[in-house]
Amino acid sequence: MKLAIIGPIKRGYEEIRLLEEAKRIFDSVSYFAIPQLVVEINNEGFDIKYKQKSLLDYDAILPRIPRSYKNYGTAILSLLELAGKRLPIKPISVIGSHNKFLTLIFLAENGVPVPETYLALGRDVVEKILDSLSYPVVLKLLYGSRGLGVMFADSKNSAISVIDALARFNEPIFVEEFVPNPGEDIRAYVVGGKVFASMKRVAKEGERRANIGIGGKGMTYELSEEEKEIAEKAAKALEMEICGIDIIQGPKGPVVIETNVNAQFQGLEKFTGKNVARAIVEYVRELV
Amino acid sequence: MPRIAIIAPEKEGSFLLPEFRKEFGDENVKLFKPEGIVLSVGNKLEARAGNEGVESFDYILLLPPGPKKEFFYMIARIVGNKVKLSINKETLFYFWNPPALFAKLSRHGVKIVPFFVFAHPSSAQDLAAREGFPLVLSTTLGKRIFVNNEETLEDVLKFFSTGQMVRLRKSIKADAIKVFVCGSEVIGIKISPEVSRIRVGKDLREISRKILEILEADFVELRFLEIEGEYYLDSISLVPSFEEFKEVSGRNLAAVIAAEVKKKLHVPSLGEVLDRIVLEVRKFFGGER
Repeated sequence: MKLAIIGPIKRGYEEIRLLEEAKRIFDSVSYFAIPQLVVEINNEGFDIKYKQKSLLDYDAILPRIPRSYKNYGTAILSLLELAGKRLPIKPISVIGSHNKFLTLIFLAENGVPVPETYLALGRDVVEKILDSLSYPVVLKLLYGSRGLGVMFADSKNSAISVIDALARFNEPIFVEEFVPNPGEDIRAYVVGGKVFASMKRVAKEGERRANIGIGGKGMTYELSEEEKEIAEKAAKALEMEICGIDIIQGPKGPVVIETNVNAQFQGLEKFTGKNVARAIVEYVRELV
Repeated sequence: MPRIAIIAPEKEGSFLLPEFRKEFGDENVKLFKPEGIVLSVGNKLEARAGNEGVESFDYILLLPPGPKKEFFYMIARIVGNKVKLSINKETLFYFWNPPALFAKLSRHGVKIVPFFVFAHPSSAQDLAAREGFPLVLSTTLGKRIFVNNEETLEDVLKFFSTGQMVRLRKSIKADAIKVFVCGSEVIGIKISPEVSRIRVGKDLREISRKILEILEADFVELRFLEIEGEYYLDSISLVPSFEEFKEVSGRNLAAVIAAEVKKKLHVPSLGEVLDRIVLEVRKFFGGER
């Protein structure tokens, strides 16, 4: 049984751990850096190769598609799906998860609670809705990760400043209701459609974002039944059998604020002691 | 009378608006630029243009320019189950994905111009060494760049950003033909080596209509290369070249689309409505004769 892991050029903790665990289970494991893959389409069919190695020769595929290669990664997964490969992440999930507003659409379609959020390309139409919002509000880059590209505006005027900056750089304007919470969020890691591990992340003092990468602290956390159900429902909505789901406890109950198709799990493994990498590769093995 | 929303960039929208107003009436057709649309989720999943929910229309014509295709996909995703669209969200998603789109069409028997796709400059250099020059590079936005040597290739590659998907194929000496297909109408023009009107033959008509059917779209523009009497698909666009077709073929594509949409929405004539009333009255009073 041969496994191909498709990921970024620079392997992070997650890619290294996945390779480590995969070598214990699969007969052969290869790592392909997405940027090095070349797709060939002709009238006889198609192929996805790195030099002479074809992805189509592998039995199992484990994708780790970073944001910068989301379109190319989506194209590759679409072809793999067309070739009959069973993927733990659908092609649409890559775009759906990296695009923060599309994530919310998928979730809302499936009855998962999401914050009140607006998206527009034009600055003027957004300004009109600012009067109807309660402050603070959250403004985000449509594509951002690890807490980067998340901005808070305490008033209409400060929101306008941020919006002007986004418009200046031709960025879509994403405005979200701020869900009050004590500066912490929950990361649930879903494997095979079920929550495998979870932790709480607490923002550092003076910061609202709880991401570990920007100074947040992690601690073990057992999800409530409601939180578990929401996390699994969110993963299903995005058609991701392996992913990270971020939840915050709002005044009306848990709310999903983000999904991660390329979720990190270094913190999770460290704080929970659970072997997330093994769970992932074992699940991918089952899919074949 | 059905209400029509056209969501398109200003220039292309300006071709469509008058033709749709001729068919459906001024008050029933509105043009919205993508910058005028607000999407919302939370309490309600909605796309709004000014004071109107986009789903209040009976038909939405989407003309998604390349850089905004994700936004259009989101519109289609939000309203697609409630309103008729000129193209469905599944097909729109394929436009993210030219390799998969062409692979799918090829599986349906459509001949395609073979190509490679890469996302890193080093891959381009390897391919060029293998395939030789001249080459044609293009992005998912459709811009074509002819590359005759390594030096030019290096210069061109500097313009592509990290992760950007680039298509590469050999440059082929062949007539390039653009075809606009909408319903049963298939209109073709030759665009290279010289520009001229053409008569669309049976083969080209059939393959064009087949592609439209596979895409489940109301209209589409196709670019073919004619090689030894056969047509090979080179690119697909959801935004027709209104001006080019008008100039070369004399045909008004906007009028063609409007007429087709009218047919599709089954807008009965007064005569048809009266016939229907007479039939119902007869049934009511004494059965059909």
